[in-house]
Amino acid sequence: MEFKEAAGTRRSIRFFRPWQPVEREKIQKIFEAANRSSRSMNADYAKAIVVRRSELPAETIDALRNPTTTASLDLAPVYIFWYLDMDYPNGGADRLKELVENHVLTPSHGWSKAYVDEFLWPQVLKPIADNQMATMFMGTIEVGQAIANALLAAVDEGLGTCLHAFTAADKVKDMFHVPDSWIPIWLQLLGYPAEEAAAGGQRPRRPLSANFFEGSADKPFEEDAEVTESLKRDKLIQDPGPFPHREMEVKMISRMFGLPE
Amino acid sequence: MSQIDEDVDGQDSFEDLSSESIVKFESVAKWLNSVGAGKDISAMDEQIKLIVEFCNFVRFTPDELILKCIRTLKDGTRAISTKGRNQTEEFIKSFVTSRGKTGNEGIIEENKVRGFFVHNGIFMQGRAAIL
Repeated sequence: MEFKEAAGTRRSIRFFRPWQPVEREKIQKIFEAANRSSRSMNADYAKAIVVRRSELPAETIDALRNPTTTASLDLAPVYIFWYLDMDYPNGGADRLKELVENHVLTPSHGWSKAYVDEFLWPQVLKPIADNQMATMFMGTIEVGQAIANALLAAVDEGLGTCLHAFTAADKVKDMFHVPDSWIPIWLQLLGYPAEEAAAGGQRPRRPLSANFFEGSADKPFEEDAEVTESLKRDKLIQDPGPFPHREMEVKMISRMFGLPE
Repeated sequence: MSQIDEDVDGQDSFEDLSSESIVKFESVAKWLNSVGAGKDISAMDEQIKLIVEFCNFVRFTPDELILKCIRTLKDGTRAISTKGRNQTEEFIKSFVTSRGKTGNEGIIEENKVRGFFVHNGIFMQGRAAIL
């Protein structure tokens, strides 16, 4: 799948085929995509634990349930617990100097090992590392970038996926031996969709002019109609929902799984 | 008398509801309209009967049951009550158990009752019935 189509096809999928396992190779590809995400300091912000529902004891799944996340846990065959590792600043100076050695951070842009050791680390990065709020602010953004890659990789592999609020964090911490420095971010559910991949059509979005600007914040970015048409051909922009059959599709799938209609 | 009389604060003055009387309640009208059956109640006969039996079991009216899931904050805004929703979950499970429904049959019936709460804005999820 081309990038534009993957980005355009991504939806939050909430109905999975519980009977169809996800191949381990696909999970590796998803993790690799996440591992290639943009990140400052070349740090390892994101940590993730993948577990398969079929391998979990019933009492473990029950421990994860709450009034708002229950059906999803029964339907998705794979759970990925995403965390921010608050220890990510550790080793930051060494990683930056490695990038200097590898001619990634170069003198042309002001970088040197001396700058990292004598100024950047003690004056900028160390104070951030010592400030929990700043560490968390930076970290959640960078984990978000990793998760965004993981979502698109899942779509590229023909899977459905959806992020859920991370509940029962204390129970998960004990069950999966999560280190104290990891902070829960999102629970990503993964599986083959029981609904069609289009999931009723592309979600409504406001036009580019509502959110993007050119030159100043009071000058909305105006779309070029030809570009818009080319993006439709490339499937970044797809038919909007709801499809005429969507209501019936949801009703039928809900009935199949005995869920409220 | 229901089997959970001693466990919950059911109203002594509660009078059993019927399929005819229950549709007069605001929460029932809201549910039926939301589910799309507002114009043809007969299509919902089975579900209405189930909610009648649920209300008679827990001895609360449908409007009271919805109110139990809502709390009013200091600034006057309304929020879902975790305590109320948890109690509702217990009500639902007790009700379905009392009818001898277990396994997938029980899950399906629990979710039918949950639908009434869901369409009244009370976010809740039950298990999925998977063979």
